[in-house]
Amino acid sequence: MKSTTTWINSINNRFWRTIVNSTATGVESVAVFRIIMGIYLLFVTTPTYTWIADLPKALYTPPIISFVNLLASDFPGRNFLVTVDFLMVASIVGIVLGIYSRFATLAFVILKVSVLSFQYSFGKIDHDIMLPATLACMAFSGWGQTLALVPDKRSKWDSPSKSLSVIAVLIGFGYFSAGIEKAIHWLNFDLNSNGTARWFYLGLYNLQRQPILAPALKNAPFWFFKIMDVVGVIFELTPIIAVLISRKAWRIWLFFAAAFHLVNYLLFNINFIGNGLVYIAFINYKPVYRYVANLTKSYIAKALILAAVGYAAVIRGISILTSQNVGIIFIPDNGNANLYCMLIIWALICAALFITIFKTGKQPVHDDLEVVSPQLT
Amino acid sequence: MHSLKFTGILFAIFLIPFVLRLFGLEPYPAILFPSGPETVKQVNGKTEIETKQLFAKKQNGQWALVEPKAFMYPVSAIQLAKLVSKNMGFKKQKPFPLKGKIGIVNYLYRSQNSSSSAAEEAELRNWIKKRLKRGNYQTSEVKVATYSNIISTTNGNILKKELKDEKYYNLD
Repeated sequence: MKSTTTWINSINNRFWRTIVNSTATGVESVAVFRIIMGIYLLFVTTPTYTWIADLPKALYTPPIISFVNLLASDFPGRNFLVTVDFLMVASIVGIVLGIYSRFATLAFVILKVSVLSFQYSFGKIDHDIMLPATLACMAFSGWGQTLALVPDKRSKWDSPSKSLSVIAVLIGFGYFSAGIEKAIHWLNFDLNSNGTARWFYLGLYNLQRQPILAPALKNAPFWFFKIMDVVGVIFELTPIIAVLISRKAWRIWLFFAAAFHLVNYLLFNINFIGNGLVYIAFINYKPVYRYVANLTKSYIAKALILAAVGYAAVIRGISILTSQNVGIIFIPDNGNANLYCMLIIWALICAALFITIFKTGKQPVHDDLEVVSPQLT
Repeated sequence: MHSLKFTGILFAIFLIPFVLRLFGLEPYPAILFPSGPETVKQVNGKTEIETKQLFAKKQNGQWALVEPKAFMYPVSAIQLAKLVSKNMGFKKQKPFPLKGKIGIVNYLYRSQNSSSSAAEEAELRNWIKKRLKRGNYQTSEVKVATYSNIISTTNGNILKKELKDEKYYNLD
């Protein structure tokens, strides 16, 4: 019995050690990532949730198994949602500027998941859970210890390598949950049966989506959709394998993941930009850390950063009070501008991940991994 | 490294929602990505899909397709498909699981399986009418039409659109 337990423990340790070796960066790197994530949350995705208060009770059909179904029988009121919206903006400011980052991150995650739970009580669950899940993990990465106005104190819970390893496993399982059912129904030799084509035609004619490359895909032969079926399933079932193979294999998968989302956006108008942000958590930003640190020492840079953050926070505040979407801050809120901005962001993510494939470097040593946490042996 | 206990908890966090979704009980929050494994069949260069669309009368009395983005704003346009698929929000009483004998199960299904009260239906009608008015449609009635679309797999165009069902909703 004892030997079985020891054996299971050793498998467990080997499993996590392999994943840590494939994913680890360091405290300095995750601090830069915190700023990138904060900029994304403050400037790029700017949702408000006050509109939920206007929904009639008849439309309240929460998922049977959800905490909002347990706790509420109607959509929340406007005052509650305005408060939550403002608290979310405040927590994002905390993340981007590094003001009690751990607390700000956890507060954001709780608030975000709460309002999304009410939003999905409309009936449709969007599967954008990876972003809050990643933030929840990063709250324990030590990403607020440096490059921060009010740095977090070092904690025994902080471990960038542990956080990133859990995120990698979350990605692996998330995609498994999407790919396994598709594999059962899509992987066959019947060239006349197709899943991707169904997504495409339903998006086009039922949801009235207008993907930018729809004309090209409409004219594609039916077997092309079959290739997409197979490639899609392989892509969705392989992240956990890639992360267990090597650091380079994981980075190659991340690049293909970003490219997959970009293609999805172009062909199906399905934009999982939040996942793109999750993928770039695994980039090692250490080479740019010093540059960012120096930049934030300059008074002019500090003033500009504070002005930009302040401006965005004010715009977000107005958006909350007026229930008007503002789109991407500094960019006109119209369909085309939003589309091209998103394409640029996706292109940048793909390019960054592509470069990372060739900058994998040597396997990280533990001194690099754990500047803070002594827990990792 | 993460302890065995942590790994076990993580595995349960993954597995339980995954199994629940297989039984049509997708929880939230959960680490689940979109699946949608259904397929279409191609026969003689054609395939068939079913669509549901919302129509309202313009001021001249002609039925017109409701533009999802403008109608739903500031709600995401994609939610319109959900709205039309769930009877425009007009809930009908459905039987509760396990013959309604277990209190906690009845409580969990209270929003899904109970019909709306008259006051709730009036609130829903007003919500729809407000959106119709904003889009310059008549506010007295909408209809949800279900079509069977025959699509060419050569050029992706609709070759034939057959009306299968029409459901009218009086809003006055």
